[in-house]
Amino acid sequence: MTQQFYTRQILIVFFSLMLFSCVTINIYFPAAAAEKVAEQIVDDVLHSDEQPKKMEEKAIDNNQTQLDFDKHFSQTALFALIDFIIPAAQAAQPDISINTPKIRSLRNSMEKRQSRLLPYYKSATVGFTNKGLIASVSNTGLSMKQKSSVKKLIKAENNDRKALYTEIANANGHPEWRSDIQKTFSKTWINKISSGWMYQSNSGQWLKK
Amino acid sequence: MKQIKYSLIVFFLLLTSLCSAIDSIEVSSEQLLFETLNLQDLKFVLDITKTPVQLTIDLTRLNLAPPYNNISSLNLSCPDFLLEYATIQCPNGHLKFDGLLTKLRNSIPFSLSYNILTTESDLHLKNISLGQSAIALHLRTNNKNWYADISSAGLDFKDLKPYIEHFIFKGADYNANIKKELLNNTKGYLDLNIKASGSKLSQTAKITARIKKLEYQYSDNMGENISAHINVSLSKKANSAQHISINMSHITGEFLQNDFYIVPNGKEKITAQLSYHARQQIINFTDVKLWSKKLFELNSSGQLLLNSTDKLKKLTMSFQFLDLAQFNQLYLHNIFTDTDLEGLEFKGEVKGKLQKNRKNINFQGSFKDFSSTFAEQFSLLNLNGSIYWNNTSQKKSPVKQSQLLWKKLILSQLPFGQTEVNFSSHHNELKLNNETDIPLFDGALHINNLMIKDQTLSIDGFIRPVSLDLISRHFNWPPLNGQLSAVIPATSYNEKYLKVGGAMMLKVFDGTIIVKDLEIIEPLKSYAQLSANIDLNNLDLQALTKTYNFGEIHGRVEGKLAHLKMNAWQPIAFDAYIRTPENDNSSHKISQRAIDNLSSLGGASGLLSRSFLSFFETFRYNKLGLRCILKNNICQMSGVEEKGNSYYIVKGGGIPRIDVMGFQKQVDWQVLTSRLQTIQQANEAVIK
Repeated sequence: MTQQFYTRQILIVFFSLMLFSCVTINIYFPAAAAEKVAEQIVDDVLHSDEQPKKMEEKAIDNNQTQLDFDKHFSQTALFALIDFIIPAAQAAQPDISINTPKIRSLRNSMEKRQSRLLPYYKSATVGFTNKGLIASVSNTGLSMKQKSSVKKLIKAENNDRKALYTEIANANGHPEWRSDIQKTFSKTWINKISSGWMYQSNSGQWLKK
Repeated sequence: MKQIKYSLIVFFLLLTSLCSAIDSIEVSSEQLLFETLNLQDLKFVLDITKTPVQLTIDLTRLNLAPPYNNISSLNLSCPDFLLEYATIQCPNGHLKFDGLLTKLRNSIPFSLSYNILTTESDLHLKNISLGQSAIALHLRTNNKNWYADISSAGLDFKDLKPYIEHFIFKGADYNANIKKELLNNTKGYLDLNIKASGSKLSQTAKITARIKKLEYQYSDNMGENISAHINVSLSKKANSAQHISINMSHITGEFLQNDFYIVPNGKEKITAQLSYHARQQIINFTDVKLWSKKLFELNSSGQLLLNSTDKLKKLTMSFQFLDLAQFNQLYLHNIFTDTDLEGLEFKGEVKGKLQKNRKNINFQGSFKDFSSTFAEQFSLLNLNGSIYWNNTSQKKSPVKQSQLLWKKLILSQLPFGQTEVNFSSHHNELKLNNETDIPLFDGALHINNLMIKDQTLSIDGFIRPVSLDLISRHFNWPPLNGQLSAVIPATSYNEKYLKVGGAMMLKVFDGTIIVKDLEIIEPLKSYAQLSANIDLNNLDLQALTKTYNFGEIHGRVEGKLAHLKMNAWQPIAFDAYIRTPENDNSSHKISQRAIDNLSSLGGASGLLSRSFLSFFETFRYNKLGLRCILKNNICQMSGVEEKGNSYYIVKGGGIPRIDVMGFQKQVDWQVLTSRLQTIQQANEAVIK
């Protein structure tokens, strides 16, 4: 009887402690959601000259992305619940929103520029770096005017890309995600480029896809 | 040097006295040291048995300091050596050796004449090897003066690398990588002539160079196919300054420097006059000038104090663009292409002058028939006038009043008419000196005060009545009746942020619209974010509905558009209502078409016209109103009064009484706006 009493007391204290203890919420970088939005943006930019899409369609896609992510999130909810009971910390998986005017404007700007960059991607003049940016690979065979264009286009594109990565992180309330977002985009750009285009390996070597 | 000269005199006097007694003279030495020169295995043979006398000198090796190459296997032959009246002559000499400027074998014809007593000498050397090209040298000296003429055609830059590295880059304050890249990536050819002369009192040199097919690259900067004529004059007098004069012309080719792609057309010229005072460590520069006749001129002059922390003591810079249209076509077009400024055009004439004296800086500029356009966003036509600025306060150093007059100005598609503005600018401040009317349609934007300080623009004023009809026609809107006038209270704008300090009042539709708390983040960007609160007071519904052809409604309305938030000029949130004001004494009538249109906002259309009520043209109403709270793309709807699960949009009065009821309390914002568009398009098609 005494033992039963003590067991009950211990359990009460244990659950009380659980209830009143401070729960730390760690927001981890949502890699899967980031990959989805990166794929969506990269697809839109790379194929902007082939299939111009309206912003409304993008908004629908955004919602879809969020729905997909929510579905994924519900599947992981059980694990989160277990996490809640066992440690005092909880992992939360926020989604990635790309539906801000500035992100739309940056995407528009990149999509508009794509048709000018395309011949230079195809001719292996410009390649995709391992930092999610673009860079000059070779100037061979270009006139000075074309070299000037390439230089300015690379500069403008990289400014937009850097601003895009920053803005996605800021728009989601996590400026510290910027480098993770940039890494995610870097992989996605390289995965999505057409064969024959140049990209930079992890070691910095230029390779033809 | 003097010792060598006297030795030579003694040697040749001895030679002349002995020559009748001996056949040949031979002098050999294993090693001779003259200051830094190290001569190895020198053999001197004078064969006087032959007529004319023959002189040969052989030298196994002569070590030279870099960048020169050691000389080896030297053979000098003088087949017609002449010694007469203290004059040594070798008119058809030949010199062969390996090394000197390159490691290649040289075969150099030469002529020499030297007077032992007067020390006058004259030396001609031809074909000194420098790669594939050759250098000719003419040297003339006497005991007072010297003169040298060095010339070469088609010098290859790659052969000049060691000399550029040694004489130009060594010790120069260049980045090591830039030096390396420039040395490795520079190609081209050079025709060169140097004429130099000197005495104990002065030295002068004139360098004439023709650069051909020059290419260079460092970092992202490069030049291709560059040609230019360069003339440099150098002069120095004892205890006086060194003077340098540089003149470049016939510049052609292509340059890509930073983001500037420049293609000179051969008419541009560069000049500079410099004088260097070694003792005082001062450089004076005048007429440092880049210009193209009748097109543009950039000119500067000033003084540099090399020992001072504030090195630039005086500076005067002036510029004049005499034909901006052509300048735009020749240079700016290439610079702006593929940038955000692509499409920016200029015309007319601009001149300016900037003066710096110690810490005081003054600027003045003038415009003559200057025009500029940039897509449809900006256009300025026929700007004339002058601007003045200095970097001190107005009290300390008064600055002249600036005056600008333009014929037409288009900003964000708003057409402003001919205006004269007078302002003062100094340090980081610009202030409008008097109230100014800027014509806008048939009214004007009246500015009471305008100031730019620390990159923030502050403005207040009002809009003199402008016909809404003209505005609507200009922007291709539905025709609007009435006039727009507004008070613009203290408004500030910096690079990213526009804020209206008080309330902005617009007088439209016989009532007033008051815009409060207006703030716009990045107003010039497509992703501008706006927030505001708007009050609608006593608007005449008849004027409003007539304008939008919504169907006539008589009466007055008041309303609010509270907590309005727009992203990229699209509303994303607000709490808005319009309603008949309390105690409104105006006539309350609503037309059949207006009722139909109001009904169709709720999803139904043409209900009234299909019923017996269609016999009535107008109906009386007690009050009307509609409210929409927009959030997350959903409009939470309500009317003037609740009735069960529905709400009154129009509450009728009199006979026949008609009420317009709303049943949908939540409407998708996109659906609502598309319904409004449908109503407008349908009504536009109506022809009465």
